[in-house]
Amino acid sequence: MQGGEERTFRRYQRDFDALFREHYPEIVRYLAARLGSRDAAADVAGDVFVEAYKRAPLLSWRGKPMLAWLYRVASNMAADYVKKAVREVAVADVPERAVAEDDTFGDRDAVARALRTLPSDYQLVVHLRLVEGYPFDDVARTMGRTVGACQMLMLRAGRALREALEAEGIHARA
Amino acid sequence: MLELREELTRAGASEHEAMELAELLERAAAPARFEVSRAEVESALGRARPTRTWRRLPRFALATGAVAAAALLLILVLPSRQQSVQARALDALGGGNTVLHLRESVFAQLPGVHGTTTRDVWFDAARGRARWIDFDEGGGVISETLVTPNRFDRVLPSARVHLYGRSCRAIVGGCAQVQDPIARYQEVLRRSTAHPVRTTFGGRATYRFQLPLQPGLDQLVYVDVETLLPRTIVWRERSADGRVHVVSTIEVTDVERVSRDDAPRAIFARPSGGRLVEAVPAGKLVRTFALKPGQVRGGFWLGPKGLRSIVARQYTRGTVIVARYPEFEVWSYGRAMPTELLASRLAESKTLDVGGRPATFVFLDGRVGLVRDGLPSVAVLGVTSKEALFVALEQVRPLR
Repeated sequence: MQGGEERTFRRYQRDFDALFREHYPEIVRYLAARLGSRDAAADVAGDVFVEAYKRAPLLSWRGKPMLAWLYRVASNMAADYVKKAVREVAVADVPERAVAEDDTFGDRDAVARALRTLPSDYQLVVHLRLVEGYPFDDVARTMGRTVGACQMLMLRAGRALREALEAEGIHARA
Repeated sequence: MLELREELTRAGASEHEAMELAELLERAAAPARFEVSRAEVESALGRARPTRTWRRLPRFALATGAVAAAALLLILVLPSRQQSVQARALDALGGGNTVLHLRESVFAQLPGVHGTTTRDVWFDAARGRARWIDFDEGGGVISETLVTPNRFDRVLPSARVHLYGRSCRAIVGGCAQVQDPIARYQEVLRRSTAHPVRTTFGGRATYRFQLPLQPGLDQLVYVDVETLLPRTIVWRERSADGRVHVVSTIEVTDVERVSRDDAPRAIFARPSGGRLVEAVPAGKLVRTFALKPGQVRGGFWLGPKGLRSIVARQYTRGTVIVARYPEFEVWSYGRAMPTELLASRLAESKTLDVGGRPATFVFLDGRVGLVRDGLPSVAVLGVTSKEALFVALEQVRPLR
């Protein structure tokens, strides 16, 4: 298994096009969830792969798939993008939020927006497991954690999401 | 959903909570479940990749016998063509609207200092710009350097320092640290008359240029006969007894020519990160005077044991504190770089990881030094082993 993964890692180091075709879609989806905009996600994903083009051939195999490195770069770039966007938005341009007091998941955007406020590793575990559908074994390999730690992370992500929504006046009811 | 509920339960949630959170998480994830079409991927791939694809240089000579014979004939029958080899080698380095993207492996062969540094270089000969990133053997970034006319910037991420200045004589290691070997090769090739020799190196047909670097130091550059680009650069020193030894070997593992318009936009952007420190040469020594430990602020030492003296060296642009011990001297300085700490030779400088932070190992006319850049910077000098220097640098501490 490890040998196969390392071979894939080496292949991606040599073959940028294969790396791009294989992983660009999921990086765009991840960034879209992080940034709340598909256009911005496509822009930032382009930058992620420019970085991969420059640096991937120089990476050393450390038992993690190339995808782990891509997600880390994407996460850092998303954080930078958000910081920059916050600096660039004038106070007058910030929309006011209007959420009904007893809204129960009534606002799909509100749930996605609340997800974006969570720590990046919470967002990543949700993305890998629930958007991309990776089994927890693969999620753990990509995140460099144990399966148990990733499951715990998912539980914490759920609780944090519920708290974030409740702070907005949206109640999660089963 | 059922699977997620079970996983949440396994992580410690109650049945009720698992059901609630599973639904919530599913809803949060839903907006990101969209398809990215193949056409979109191909279009994005075209934008992300510079127009010329990365090309690994052939590992073995690709020249056909006929081409090699023709080239040999040209060299033997028409000696004047030798000059044109030099001219073509210069042209191959770019200029006009072409920039080079190179990957280099640098093997230091300084006594007691080994290890390979990998370097990713962008070189814009026409505009006198070069930018490179040095990676250690584990792939970690040691430094990012940008050199433009009249300015250098050098970021050492693990030290959180961003050095910049106008002259390479303002940092330890001097120009060796802020001039890439390819830039140095180009500069020398431009002002020298080389006599390239057709030879085989590493099983490949090459031209060999022997070019001066500085007195007592030269470089052998093996240039691919087809691309006219350097493949291997060997820096050699001739010692006083006439013997020649290799101090550094630079393997150019990949070369790509890129139109300046196609190069990534930010490639020559100034690197950033860390505390900004402007480095300037300290200038002339004005006076020296002795101090007691209690009188010094901001300097470093190895403690009172064995301390012989503490001396302030006042230069025209700043003061340097030197704590003297039987085996070592500890120099502390701010932005003003004392000329005594400049490496005496271009090739004899190497940045290493010491205790998780970069330090530069230099030879200083009979002594060795290990320097940690910062504000203040600290240098440990002595006639001693590399290991002893490492230990000493890790033991230095603030004077007050």
